[in-house]
Amino acid sequence: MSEEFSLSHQVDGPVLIIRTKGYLNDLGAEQVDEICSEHLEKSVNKIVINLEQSPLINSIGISILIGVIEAIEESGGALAFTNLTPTNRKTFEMMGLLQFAEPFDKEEEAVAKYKG
Amino acid sequence: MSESEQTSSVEQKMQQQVLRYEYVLEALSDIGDELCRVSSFDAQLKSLLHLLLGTLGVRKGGIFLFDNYNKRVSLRCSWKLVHKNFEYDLPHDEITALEADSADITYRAADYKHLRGILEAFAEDNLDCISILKVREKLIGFLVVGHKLKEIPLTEKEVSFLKTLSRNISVAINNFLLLSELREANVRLDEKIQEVSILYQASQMISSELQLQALLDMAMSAISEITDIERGTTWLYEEEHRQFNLMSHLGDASKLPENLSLEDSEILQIVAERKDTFEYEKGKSQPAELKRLDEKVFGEAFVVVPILNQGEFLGLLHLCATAGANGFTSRDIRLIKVFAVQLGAAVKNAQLYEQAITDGMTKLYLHRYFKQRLPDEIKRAARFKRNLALIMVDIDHFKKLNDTYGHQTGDEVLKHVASILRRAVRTHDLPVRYGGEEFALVLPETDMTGAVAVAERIRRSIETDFLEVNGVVIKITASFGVSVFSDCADDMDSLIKAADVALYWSKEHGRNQVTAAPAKIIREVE
Repeated sequence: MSEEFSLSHQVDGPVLIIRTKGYLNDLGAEQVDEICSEHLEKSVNKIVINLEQSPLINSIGISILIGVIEAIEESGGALAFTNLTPTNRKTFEMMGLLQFAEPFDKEEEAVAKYKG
Repeated sequence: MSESEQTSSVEQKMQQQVLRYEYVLEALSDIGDELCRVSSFDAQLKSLLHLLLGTLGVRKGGIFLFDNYNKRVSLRCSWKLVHKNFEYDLPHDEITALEADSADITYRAADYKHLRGILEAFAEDNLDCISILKVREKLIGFLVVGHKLKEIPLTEKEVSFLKTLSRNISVAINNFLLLSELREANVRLDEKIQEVSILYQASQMISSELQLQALLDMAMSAISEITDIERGTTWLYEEEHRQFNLMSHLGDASKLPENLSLEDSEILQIVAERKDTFEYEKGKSQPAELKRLDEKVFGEAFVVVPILNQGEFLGLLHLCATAGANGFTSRDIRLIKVFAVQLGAAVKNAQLYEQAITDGMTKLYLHRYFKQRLPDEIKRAARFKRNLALIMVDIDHFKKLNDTYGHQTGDEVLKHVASILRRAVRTHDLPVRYGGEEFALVLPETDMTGAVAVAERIRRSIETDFLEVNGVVIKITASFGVSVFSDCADDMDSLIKAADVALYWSKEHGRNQVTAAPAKIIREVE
């Protein structure tokens, strides 16, 4: 919980890959929203969010991811969450996030699908 | 569907529900955590809003806070709403309605009959629900939330979650506001303590000083401790001549006169009449134009604070703020005024003391005071291994002057000589009316050569400064005897005696001259 949130991102062809690190309870998580909006404006609208290093996601994180989902929906793009812990997966399912975003075990699988 | 399949489907539903409750509980505990975090109010509000939105799965929302002071609500924190800033004056009846309506706090935005003005302004956001935030009937604000993804409204269960979370958010905000009020009160208290301590130090500096000159010098430096000043002066009022005498100054004093007549200065008249602090800034205050003299003495922007003691007007402080400081703050003025009250008492004290130790006619120190001070001065000189000179002065043929021109003229002669003596001395010298026509001067840190030079200068002044009384020019001369501690004597009595003997020598050898007492060794030899 004390670990500060940070993230890195990378564009691979038509795909934006975001790797988060740390607990998504921090307002720092708003960066995810900012980076997605930036790239959506540049028509990079296939986004893969790798949550391997964020084993704990609380409602703050969910609210931000909802924002991202909405923006991608509006732009007609696609969103994938990868490397979800079982807890996160359950939460995402319960909150209906997985109706709008596809879960993948590995980041590469999602990227391969979106590039293909 | 088989029985076992039915059971497992119910079980699954139950499990889902437990999970959902767990999730809400987690959010509640996160709100508690948020309260313990040391962060800004706005950061906390933002976290609370995100917690709420994420728990409900809602896309947008905002928290409005109510300012009870100006009866206005403002959007303090928002996520994805059309407006980022929004302010709205709450009509009185709305406030009453919101505070009274305590049974329920959460409503569907479309059905809510209050706050329509605000809800309509956010029509584009298609808000789903609104929750009134209040603690014990005290309105804190309200929060709005939009729909879930795909514009799906909250379920009844979720509305009930929203209600629970809103209650917790109310408490969190209320606690934070109380805490920040407490912090502000603490800061104000700290400031007060600091002010009191500055004033205490400043008052300490002046309270025990009985010498007017030294007192007012100290007052100036004490004020420069209280606030930054570019320039400042202190003036004491002299009723007899209706004039103000410059006592001390800070900064450039080259253009300052020694005294100012009440008649000539509009500023002095204003302060003497109002007996109250007066701030002046050219172009902004009355009078629009200052007389040239006033502008020269006081400047174009300044504050004048009267020095009063129990309503008696004693004088004033005049201060110019540091250039670029944009005048004095109200705190500065307040502190200076409090200080001026202390100064008033100290000045009065010093004036009374001075009256008690000075001769009313000549304004010189009394013999009694001389006898009291001289031993102290000798001790000090002995301790620091310094010289101390004593000059005795006697007006020549004073009896004859008195007999020829009358007592009144005799008094004028005494006053005239006294004023020459007063002008001749430095701050720490002590001019004394020793007896009838006899005067003394105590000069600390002065050796024989220096003392004789001073005596000679005074002798010449007396001889050349003619005194005219009723059209008659009176020629005055005086004789002088000078002795020095520790060259001529080791104690007070022998120091006085040595000067007296030297004075007698001058009298015996033609008057109007200065005689130095011999050093101890020479006397011993003789």
